Amino acid sequence: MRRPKLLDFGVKLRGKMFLFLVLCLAARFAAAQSATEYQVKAAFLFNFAKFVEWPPSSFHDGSAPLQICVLGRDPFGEVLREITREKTVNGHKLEVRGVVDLQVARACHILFIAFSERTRLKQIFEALQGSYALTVGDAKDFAEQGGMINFVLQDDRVQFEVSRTAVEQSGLKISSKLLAVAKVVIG
Amino acid sequence: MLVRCRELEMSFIARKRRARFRIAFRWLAILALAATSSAQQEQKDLSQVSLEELSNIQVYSASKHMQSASDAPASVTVVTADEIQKYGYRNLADILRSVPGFYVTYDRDYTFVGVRGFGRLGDWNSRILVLIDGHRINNNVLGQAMLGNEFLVDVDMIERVEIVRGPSSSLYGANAFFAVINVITRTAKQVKDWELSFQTGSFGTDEGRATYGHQFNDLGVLLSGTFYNSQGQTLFFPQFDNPANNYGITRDTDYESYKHILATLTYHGFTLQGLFSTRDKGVPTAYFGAVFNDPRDYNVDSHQYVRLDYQHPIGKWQVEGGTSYDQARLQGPVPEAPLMPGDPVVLSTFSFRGNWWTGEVKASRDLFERNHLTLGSEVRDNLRQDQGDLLNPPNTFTPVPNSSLITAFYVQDEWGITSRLTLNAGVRYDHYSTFGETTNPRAALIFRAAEKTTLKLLYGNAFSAPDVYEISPDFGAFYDNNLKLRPEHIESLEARVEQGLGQYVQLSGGLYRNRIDNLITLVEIPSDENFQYQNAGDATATGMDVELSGRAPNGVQGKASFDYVDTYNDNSTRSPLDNSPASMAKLNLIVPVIDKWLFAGAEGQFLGRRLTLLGDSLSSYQVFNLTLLGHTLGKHLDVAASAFNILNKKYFDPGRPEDPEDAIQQDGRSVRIKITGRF
Repeated sequence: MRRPKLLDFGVKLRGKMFLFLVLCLAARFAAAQSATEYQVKAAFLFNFAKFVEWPPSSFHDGSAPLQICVLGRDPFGEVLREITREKTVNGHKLEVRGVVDLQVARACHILFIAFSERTRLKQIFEALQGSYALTVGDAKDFAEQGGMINFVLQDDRVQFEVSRTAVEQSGLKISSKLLAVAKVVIG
Repeated sequence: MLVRCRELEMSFIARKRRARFRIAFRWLAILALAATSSAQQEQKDLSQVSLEELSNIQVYSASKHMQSASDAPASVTVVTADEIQKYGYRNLADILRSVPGFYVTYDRDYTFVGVRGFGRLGDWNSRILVLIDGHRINNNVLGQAMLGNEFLVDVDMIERVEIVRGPSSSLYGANAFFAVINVITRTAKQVKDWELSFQTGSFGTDEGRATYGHQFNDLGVLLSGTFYNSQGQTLFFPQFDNPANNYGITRDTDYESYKHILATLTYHGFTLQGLFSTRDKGVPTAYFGAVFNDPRDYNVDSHQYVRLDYQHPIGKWQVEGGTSYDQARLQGPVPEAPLMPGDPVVLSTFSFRGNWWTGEVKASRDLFERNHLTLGSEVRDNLRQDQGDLLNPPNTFTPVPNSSLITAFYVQDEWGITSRLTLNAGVRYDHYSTFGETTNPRAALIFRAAEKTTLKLLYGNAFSAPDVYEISPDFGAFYDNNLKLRPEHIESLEARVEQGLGQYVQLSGGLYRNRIDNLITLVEIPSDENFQYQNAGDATATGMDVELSGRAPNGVQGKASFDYVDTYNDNSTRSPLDNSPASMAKLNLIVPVIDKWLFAGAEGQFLGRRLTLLGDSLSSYQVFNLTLLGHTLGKHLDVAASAFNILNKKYFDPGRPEDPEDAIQQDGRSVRIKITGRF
């Protein structure tokens, strides 16, 4: 019985050799200068503290801490606390806290609204009316619903959009340096 | 380093002698080792990095998709464009082969997918729903979803594929039976002006693609065209091994060519999309009693659609409306084997023709705090759904039912009862002008027990409408009509745990039970020896799956999974189902060989024993694929080299009822080189 041969290489690559190759590749860890998504986002939050100006009345006194809050399921773990540890901006120490109550959230300077809260963004923004909280998020239509700064992932890089009207309506001043890096500026 | 490699090699040799299912657990262990050891790497202080640099850091992590996957009221897998490129996937079927719970069958004409122990031979993929950017592409004659090279979109144009396991008729209606596969295509923004791609590979295969994408202020323009041609292989089918049939050897009958055109325009809330796809495939298996080794036996699958969608907020409602028009054709000549030796070969032509129009509207709003309500309605008018023989005698098309109307309403609510507990419930009512009405509910409880722990309890129903092809098959004179055919029904219960392990690794596992009633089955009628589709029997599947996935900051990422399912027909003997593997395991691993410039993507797939239609047992198999991807010229040029079935494993898939072969041999080792330029 004749039998046509399917494509045949001269080299017979044995099963164990192939797996061996794969495993050795896996064992070989190229040292990479990269970071996780939320490490980069945490670093951005720290930069927002530097490039946004809050009115003095948003602080109890000149040495009161600048509060960075996370509302909802915290995606940062320890990275946000690590990056802001022992750091000061304009004489204010940085303080990271998780918040649940929206009334407490009004006292925050930067409020990161986690993805878990995406279905109630409207209520959150209504409750924050008149506060000095810079709202930052990463849900799909965060900016459209009234958020100020929205992180978006593009080509595996973290970019952000700024809703200038939303920021200025709340009495915050945003540095042109920050606007220059923003991918999109709305309004 | 050397010692570790040596150990791994030894463990592999030892492993060969052990039970098959242990393989999966070893894969899990290796992946865990890789992910955790890479996670221990030091990070530089990001607080000292400038804004510009920050926005240029490449991130590897649990993306939004994964985050939303853990909130989803189902078991969800997402495959991204990045994975498609790094694993060298050639078509949608290749993507699905890597997905836990999915297995693929190819009969050298069409590609079929089975999910969690159900891969009904001859069902044209009508028990899964395939969407392109939310648009249903299962056709209206066969309920067929195209998955292999016949799929309507070039894989390079895919941004991501979202695969949702379990019944979802509460949202999507028919075909959302075992799974929903939503293919999301790239947008104008994601393609930076021109992209040209060329590939060449084994079996005389060439493919070329040209894509243009640009965002002009508010107007996004994307246009892409692909051309593919493959000569195919010389094949051997033992049952034709006699002098009259060239000793079972068939040449020049495995050819395939396709063309795809995709155009997407976006302007404010409007999306206008047009798609054209056509494929020719030679049929080497001589199905439907055709003459063996006759290159005139081929089929053409074509599908075109145009759709217009609009999204806009009205008051507190987010409103989406859309309309689309689809046209699908499946036709081809069949050289019929003469009944008496010496009679001439008659060339008959079968044809399935479907045209349908769809209108949809959906509105959603926050009802009160943590409560999100969605209402929707869909109308599908099957203007034409006929089948017949074009030549012999000319233009006879089956009259019943050659058109039908489907109207549906659905409601879905996501309610965060507490900050940790979410209830997601929905129900959809469908009315078919053919068989009447069906109502399908679904409910999911999602409990975030801890920061990294999510528990899910999922309950769902779905139906699979009898297709025109099943009601009145007109595929030669072998079939009888069944105008009383009822929809098939599935009820499913599933419990899942999703647990984050450290920062980069996620473990998930589930237990499920699927019960299917009124299985639509091809039955032989003793009185006239013809075949007929009947609601014959029920079946049950009880299974479990476990998956470990990880993405480390240094670019190493991967997943390993193991599935086990027990399926049987609910009859007195609890007879086994055909094409139902009890176990399967998958391993996927991407490793940066040279950071950011050279990547290795490796996969291994194990599929357990399966029964053919004639009750023969097909042995289990393992297939390994490897792709090397290099970025050069500042990411303007990508070069990828892939080897598929690298061990040249000889394995078989079961044939369909239409195929004369009970088991069909699959491709051995093959290679491909692909070059993509961006400018």
